[in-house]
Amino acid sequence: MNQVHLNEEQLQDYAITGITDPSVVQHLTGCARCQVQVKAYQTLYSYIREAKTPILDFKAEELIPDRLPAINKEDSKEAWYLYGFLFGAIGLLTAGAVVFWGSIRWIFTGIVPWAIIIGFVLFSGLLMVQLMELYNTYRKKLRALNME
Amino acid sequence: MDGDRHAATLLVRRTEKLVAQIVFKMLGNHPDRKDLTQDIYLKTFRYLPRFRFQCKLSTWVAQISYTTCLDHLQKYRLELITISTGDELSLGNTCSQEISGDIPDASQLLSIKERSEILEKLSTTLPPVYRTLITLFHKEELSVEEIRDITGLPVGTVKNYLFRARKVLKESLLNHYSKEDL
Ligand SMILES: [Zn+2]
Repeated sequence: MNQVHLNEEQLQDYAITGITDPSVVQHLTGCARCQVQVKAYQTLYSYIREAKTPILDFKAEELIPDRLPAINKEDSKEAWYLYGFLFGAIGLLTAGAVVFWGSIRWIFTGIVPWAIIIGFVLFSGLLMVQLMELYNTYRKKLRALNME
Repeated sequence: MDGDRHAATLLVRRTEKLVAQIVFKMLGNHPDRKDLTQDIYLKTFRYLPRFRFQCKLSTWVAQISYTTCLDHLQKYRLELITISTGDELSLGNTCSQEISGDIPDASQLLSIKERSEILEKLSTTLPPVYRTLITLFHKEELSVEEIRDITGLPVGTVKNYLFRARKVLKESLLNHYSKEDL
């Protein structure tokens, strides 16, 4: 048997996780002293876990002020305005292009179709990345507010 | 506006347990405890627009609770983190190798109330910051990183304080049971 007693850190970790090296387990099996120490830590942890949660001696809800300040709504408002403007502009341009296709098709003469496709894919990609970022920020805020 | 009120009520309901834990552990039976808790919630609502979503809202409220208590204790120059050497030494000496090893069996017979009382008694040897850290980690099951966010202490310091606090409490527990057994 490994004759060296477990150090305090090993005792604490083992009492929390129950995981340790095989040599430590072997020592523990044969050492009453270390067993007592581990049991003491386990007992302590269970006492803390089971301890009664203190209760506030007043109703905290009554402290909520009548006029509540908003939580950073300006940031998200700005972002949504920006995207609204962007999509509005894209929509208008597309509608204009469809209506006035006859007058503007000269712009695209001479540009090979694959260049148009690449341009479109790049633009859509960028837009998607931006949208994903906006969605992630929204999720992050929601998580923070829900205290998940 | 009704939605905001509902959200604020939810915020209070979801955080009051954590706030109570921090305030009770930091201040114990200090006469200013109630006023300070009220102050924490007033600050929470006042500073809500400054919340930057860098962490969970409950962590942010816990941060306010911790710093408010810390400021208060510092104002009264109370000992925050030092475990008196005398205590540690005397407790260290009672690390009785002769203890029979039936602590858990004996404690199984105790009610939760009795166990809470024993823990309360043992915790008096700990400074407020240690008591709070132990509760946040073992009772509220927060991670070391979350505790770092709440207290502003580096992860290494949090781990070190937890280690020392557990050791002192364990020695006190062994001491308590050896006395009981005698
Ligand atoms: Zn041993």
